Amino acid sequence: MAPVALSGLHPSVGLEIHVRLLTPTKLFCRCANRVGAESNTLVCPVCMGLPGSLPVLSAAAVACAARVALAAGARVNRISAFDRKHYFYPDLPRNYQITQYAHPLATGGELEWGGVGFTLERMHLEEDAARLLAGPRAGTVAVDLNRAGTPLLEIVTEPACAPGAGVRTWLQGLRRLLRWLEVSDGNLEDGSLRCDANVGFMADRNRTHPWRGPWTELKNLNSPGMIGRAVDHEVERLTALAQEGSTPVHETRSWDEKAGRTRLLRYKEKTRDYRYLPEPDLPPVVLAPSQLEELAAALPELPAAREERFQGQYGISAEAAHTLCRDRVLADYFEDVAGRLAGLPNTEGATLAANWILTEVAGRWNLRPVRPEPFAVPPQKLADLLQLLAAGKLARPAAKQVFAAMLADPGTPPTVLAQRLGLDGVAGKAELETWCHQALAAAPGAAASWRQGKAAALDHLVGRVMALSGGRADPARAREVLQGLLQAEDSN
Amino acid sequence: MSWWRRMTMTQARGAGREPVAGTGAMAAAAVREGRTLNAFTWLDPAWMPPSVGQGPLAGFGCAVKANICGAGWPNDCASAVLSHYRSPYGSTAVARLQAAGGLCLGLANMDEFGMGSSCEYSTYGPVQNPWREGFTAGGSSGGSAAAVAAGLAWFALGSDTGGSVRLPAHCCGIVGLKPTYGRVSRYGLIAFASSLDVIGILARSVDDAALVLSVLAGPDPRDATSLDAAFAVPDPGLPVRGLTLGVPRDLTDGLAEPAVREDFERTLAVARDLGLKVVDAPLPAAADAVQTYLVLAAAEAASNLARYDGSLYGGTTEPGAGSVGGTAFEQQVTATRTAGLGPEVKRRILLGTHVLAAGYRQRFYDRAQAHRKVLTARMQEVLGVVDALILPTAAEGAFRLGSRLDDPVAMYRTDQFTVPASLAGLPALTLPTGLDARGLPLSVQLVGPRLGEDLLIRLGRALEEALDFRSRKEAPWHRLP
Ligand SMILES: [Zn+2]
Repeated sequence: MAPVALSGLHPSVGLEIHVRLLTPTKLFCRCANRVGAESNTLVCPVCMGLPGSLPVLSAAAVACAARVALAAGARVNRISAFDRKHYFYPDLPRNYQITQYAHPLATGGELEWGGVGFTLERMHLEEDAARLLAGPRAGTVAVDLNRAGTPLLEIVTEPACAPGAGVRTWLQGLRRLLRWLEVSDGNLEDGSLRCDANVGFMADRNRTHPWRGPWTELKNLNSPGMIGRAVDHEVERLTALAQEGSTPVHETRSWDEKAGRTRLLRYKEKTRDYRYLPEPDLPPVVLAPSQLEELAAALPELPAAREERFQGQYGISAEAAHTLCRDRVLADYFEDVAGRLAGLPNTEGATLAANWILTEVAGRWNLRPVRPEPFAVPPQKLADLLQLLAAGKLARPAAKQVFAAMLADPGTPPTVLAQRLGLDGVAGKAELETWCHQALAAAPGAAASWRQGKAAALDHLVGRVMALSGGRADPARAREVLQGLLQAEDSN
Repeated sequence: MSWWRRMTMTQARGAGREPVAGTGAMAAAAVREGRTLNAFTWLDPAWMPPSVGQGPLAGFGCAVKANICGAGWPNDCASAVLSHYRSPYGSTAVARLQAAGGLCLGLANMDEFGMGSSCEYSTYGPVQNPWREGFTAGGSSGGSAAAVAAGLAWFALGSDTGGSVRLPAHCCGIVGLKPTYGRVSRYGLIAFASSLDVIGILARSVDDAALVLSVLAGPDPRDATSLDAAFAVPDPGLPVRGLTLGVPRDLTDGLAEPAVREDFERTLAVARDLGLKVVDAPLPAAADAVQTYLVLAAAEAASNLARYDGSLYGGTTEPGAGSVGGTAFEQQVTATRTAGLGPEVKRRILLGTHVLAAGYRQRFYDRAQAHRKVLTARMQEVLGVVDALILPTAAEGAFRLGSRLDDPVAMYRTDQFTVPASLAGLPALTLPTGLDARGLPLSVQLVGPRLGEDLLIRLGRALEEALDFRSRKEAPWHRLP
């Protein structure tokens, strides 16, 4: 989308993203960090903010955050520190939130996917607040402290000139990276990823600061698509307002998916004074260069790099590489199977594996969890099956039948399953010819249609042969034989 | 005169006395005399466990300041806002005491949340000085000090943010030890000003204080600011001859009363007689220490006390009472804090909120932080030259109850000699030296380098023995039956 000229201003969007980290414990205590438990069962003096309790930082949370920062090419600060951010609200047990304000964990960095890039301003750790529920009596609220003190990574981007569709693509890329690094579920839908978008105008496409003119903070956006639509709508709204000559004001707005428009939540009050105080209970977080080196060395190959390598190394299409790299376990599975088929000429094994996995495996594997269960068919077993296919010992439809049997019974070798199904070995020439004769005899009309030039008639006949053979015929060869027979009849 | 009022823990053990028998007598006396002194906010009827543990404190009973938590204890910090609160968990300090065989008799009265220098800002009313009724026992650990001086506990735990262990020890003629910041875990100590708060010890003798410190000190995984520094009681045979004491005369001379100056000079003469070198160690940076302390402590207090909002604590006030406008939650917060917090606590919260507010922060909070750094560096520098600093704990003996309540600035000035060590996080030991003209105790304070408690104990022992304050016949432990 070309930037909308608005007295030389460019619409732009900056994102504030909260990522719920998948650490075993909360950020400052040993309570389990998980969702779905009964209210107020995952609590202790620390996350309840009881008098005399003290926070102790989770090393796992620091490691998670540092992994994301390193993957984004951010500068991980050797020393970062926590501050207390003060405001009275029922979801904050101490009426302050422990966050990194003056000295964030990481600064800078850039993430780009599908041609859409955002420069990162900062990344920092902070604790989540409690969940507020409707209280027992009207007008009261109840507090569930299970979420209080769970770890969040906040990622703040610089504003960039990106249309809604670009923001959507970028967020999907971020979600993939977070899952790839196994630091978060990354689901906007259930709040493990939360994204606010600031929409406004920049004076110059390449200069990110300062914001010019009015801007809107968009909240309560529950999917990448919704964020994209909300951003586009808000740019239009602000542009129209500016063109009318009225002066838009700073607002916080939400997205109404049904109406397809943003709605005013509240006018931005003058900047709140959070009276930040260096957190006296937590010493500074020190990350020695050696620790960072270790963390960097432990990073997996990142998705974009892996996609590129897949294309070069395995000769598969960009699209196939992208789909295989949507999830790290899927990409791992592919490489595992392809590696076991390396004996096949050229990249035949990899191509076979990629096609099979994209059509038969990806849709059957529940990849929603960050660490999914292994796929029912182990890589070696799938490689065995594909070997049979490559060697011409099983036709593709037969292979599919065997694969279906393998899903239910992954322990048994595919050759045995093929035998049990009566599919062992592709039918020989004599057998094939018999079926073809039978098919022609059974459908004389089809032969006539073919002679009249209806190509689809041949498909019909191939289908009959496949049915007669119980899947053992190779459809490509059946087509050849049928064509031969029809032509022979023709010339007679 | 009862042996359990007079003897130190070391003496009782040396004399073959049964510590737990003494503790039993104290528990009974505390019930009888508690009301007069007002030293306790709560006496634990179950102070005697089914079996007394083994360890260095086996059978010795103590008083615990009401801001140090024990499981199930009414740790209300002498504040109305916590009047219905029972701590569901215990502090590391109490757990370590109990593991060493120590017994806890009850909770000691204090200034609300530790904010005060006289134990008058308490919902339970003021603590009486066991030396003379109508005078302050010092604050904020006044209940702890009074209990020890009156012989109602072998020792006591207090907390020291700007002098709150040392000042009561001074007023009550006993030993007060504020360890290095971080040497004793703060887990379970209800926070006043977290970067200054230290759990300290009130004891009958320097050796008793050292013994208790050896039980309390050491790292705690629940307190990220705790230091990996255990403490072993130094060998009694270690000499002090040749060590150097520095006197920050620029800080004390112009401010201390004549009686204090005289007593201090006498103490210095005793030190010289012990073979200690006494030299001048100017500390000009300490001149504004009280202002710096007030700003920083108030800022942290405002933050730490924000949680008392009526949701979990102090929710007895009807929402809406005393508040105007705002959401139901804001009304609840206002009502709870208006009714539940005392005047001194409110004063500090207002001050602390102000010094962190945009537009004022640089003038107050940031400047105070910078000054704290300078002062800390200067004190460490001086303590690289001398072995310890020596100065009076306060400019005067205990004042009359009620005499400072209308003058908060004068009350804050009471801490002027104790706050420098707090700001620098250094260990300090207060020990009684003599009596003023009114017959009320005076003391000196030794300030050591970081983790230099062993040196303070050695110096303190030598001075204590030479001064022989404990045998003064006017002392409550000799006068009381
Ligand atoms: Zn917890």
